[in-house]
Order: sequence, then structure tokens, then C-alpha cells
Amino acid sequence: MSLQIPESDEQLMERIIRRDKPAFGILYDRYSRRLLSYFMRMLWNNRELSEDCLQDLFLKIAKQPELFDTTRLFKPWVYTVANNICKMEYRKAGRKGPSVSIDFVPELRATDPGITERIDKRAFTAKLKEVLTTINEPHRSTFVLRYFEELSLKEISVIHNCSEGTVKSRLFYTLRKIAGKLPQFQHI
Amino acid sequence: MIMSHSAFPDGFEEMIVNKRYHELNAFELKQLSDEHISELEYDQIRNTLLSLGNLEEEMPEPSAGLRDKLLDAFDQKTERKPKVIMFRMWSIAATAAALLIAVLLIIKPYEKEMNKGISQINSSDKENSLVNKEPQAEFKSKNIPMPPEVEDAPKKEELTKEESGTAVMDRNEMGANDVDEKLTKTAAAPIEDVEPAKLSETSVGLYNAAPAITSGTISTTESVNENMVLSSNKSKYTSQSASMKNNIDLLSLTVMVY
Repeated sequence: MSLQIPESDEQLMERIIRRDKPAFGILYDRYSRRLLSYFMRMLWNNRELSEDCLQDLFLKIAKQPELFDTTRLFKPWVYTVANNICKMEYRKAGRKGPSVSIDFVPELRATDPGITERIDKRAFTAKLKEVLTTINEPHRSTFVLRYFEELSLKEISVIHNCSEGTVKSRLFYTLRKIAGKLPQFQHI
Repeated sequence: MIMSHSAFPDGFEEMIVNKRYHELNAFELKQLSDEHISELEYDQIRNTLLSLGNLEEEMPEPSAGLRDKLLDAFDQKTERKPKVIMFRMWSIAATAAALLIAVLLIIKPYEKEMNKGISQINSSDKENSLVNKEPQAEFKSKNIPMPPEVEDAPKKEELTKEESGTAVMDRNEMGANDVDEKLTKTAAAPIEDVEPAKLSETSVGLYNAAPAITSGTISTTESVNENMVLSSNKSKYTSQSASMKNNIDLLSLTVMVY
């Protein structure tokens, strides 16, 4: 039995450049959910708008995959593209005003084990998202990429085209601000 | 998605997650005081960071149709590429052909007109050159007797006061023969041969007899005028043809560039 090592994102992109349809499908399955949640966090939890942005991003990959330099890492590149799409939306919102929607929090049944803790966590997550919408774009994006998308400081510095020191200071500033706004969630 | 603490490998995150306030060393405490962070605030930040590490969040699922839609878009892009190139090549060829035809249609009538004008100018040039160089050639070819040679007009000193006075005062009494003779003498003389002084002397006698000037001499003057008009026409046509050539060159260059 041979052990099959999954293809890296960069290898998949090489296949996509050669117009390999299954490779595009695999890449979509790998990134669609996390990118959709990133868009939702960045775009006022607006699901419809986030799906449109996700579609735009993958259309870009489908139509112009050669824009990706295969000698570089895919993850920072795709988040850079996503971040640029968000910036465009902010510009549009600057003209029209942001379209904020109430985040969907799934209901929990009273019989679920550890219900109190889970309700606290969900409430914390919902409140955190709400607070995040009040933070300015570079700080919010840095925070989301670090604590939700689990990107390294170096990857974030590539996406934002800044030094790692700047990323650290932005993270600390945002953490401090969020901590001050969520004093009720200190024992989760 | 449940995050682990592996997300905070180094720097301030590691320090905050791993140490309570009272566990910090002197250097770390100094760093915090530099940032004006109190014990209470440090604990708040620590708890938030730990909560983020335990964050439980269900990632949203994109709508079902989106995947198929994107895969279709991927297929379309693959198929369309050669079609677009073929269409572009055809459109370029068709436009170039249309331009060439248009250029030819514009040039043809102008070319005819130009040739016609130039041939007219050339023929009139030939005629004029004959008139200018040899005014007598016309007479010779038509066997018309040449007008008599004009004698040099008498100099101012040679004319007596009596003669000139009689010419002016008693012109009515002057015999028709005398007048004709004087007019013939003056009129037959080529203009360039008559000195200004002589012209002024003879003009008195010519005053009333202008219509009697022979046609031969007048035709010479007219032909000079005609020649001037034709030469101006020629220059007009030449400039037109030059501008036409420039236009053709420009058009052909544009077609080539295109």
C-alpha cells in the first residue's frame, strides 16, 4: 500500500495554469470555506457579499492563474488577493455606507453536553466579531489572519507588505483594544 | 475550527500565554510599564488571548451551486481562447482589406484629375514658351505680314517744341495718316525696348488713339498675362499633387502600421 502525499497548493496551481480542471476543484475544496469565513469577518458578516467576493476570487484564479508566481507560496498570495477584494468593498462602502448584517449563531439544545461553556464560547465569538467591525482595516485584517486563519507573522507581513515588527505591534494594539471591550468574557 | 496555542509561538504572545503577571521577570515588567500596561489590563489581555486559542467556530459552507458555476467558468475559459485569437485575426485582415479598398477608391478620381490638370498645364506651357521666345512665330506660321520695324523714338532733345506743341494742341487738325504712322511706330515697338523717357514722350500722341493699336502687340501682352495665370495654376496643381502624395504616403503607412 503506497502512501499518497497530498499535492501542495503550489503544485495544484501549476496544474491549473496548464488548464487542469480537477486541480481547480481540489483547490476550491481546500480553500473555499476558510476564504468565505475570512470574507465574512472582514465584510461586516455579510454572507451574500462574502459569497460574491469568494466567487470573484476563484474566477480570477480560473481566468488568470498565470498571475500566480509558482516559485512563491500560494497561501499568502491568495490572502493578498482576498485582502485587495475587501479593500475594494471598503471603498464602495465608503461611498454607500457599510452593509452590516446580524451574524448567524446556530441554536444549541439544552441537552447538549457542556452547554454552558459552548454558549459562552459562541457568545464570545459573536461579540468578538461585532467588536472587530469597529476596528480599522489593517489592524482587523492582521488580527483575523493571525487568530482565525492561523497564518504566521511572516506570512502576514508578506500579505500586508510590511515588517514583522509592524505586524506584532498591530496585533498587540488590537488585542489590547478587544480585551478592553470584552471584560465579561474573562473565564471562558 | 479550534485553535491551538501553537498559533502563539514566539514574542509577546508566548510571554502572555505562558506567564501570569506575578511570574514575569524584571525585564518583562519594564517592557509592560513602558507600554503603560497595568496588572489588571495584562490579565484581561491574557484571558482574551486564551479565549481566542479555544475559539470554537463553525466555518460557513459556500452555496452548493457556486462550485459548479466556477468549474463551468474554468471550462469556458479553456475553450474560448483559440476562438478569440481566430476572431481577432479575421477582424484584423478584414479591416486591413477594407482600408486598402477605401484608400484606392479615394486615390483613383484624384489621380485622373491630377493627370488631366498636369497635361493641360504642359500643353499650355509649350504654347506660352513659343509666344514668349518668338512673338513673330505666330505671324510666320500663318503667313501674316510682319508689322514694320519700329525706329528708335526721337530723343527728348531732338523733338522741337513746335512738333510736340502741335501734337498736343492741334490734335484735331492732325492728319489721320500722321496719327496712324505715329501709332504704328509706337505700338509696334516691344515694351521692354522703349525707354521710360521715350514712352512718356510718345504717350501724349497715343492718348486718343489707343483703340487703334494693332492686335499683334496686344496679343503679346495678353499672352504674358495668360502665362502668369497658367503658371499660377501649375503651381496650384503641383502643390495639390504634392499634398495628395503626402496623404497617400500617410494612408499607406497607417495601413502598414495597423
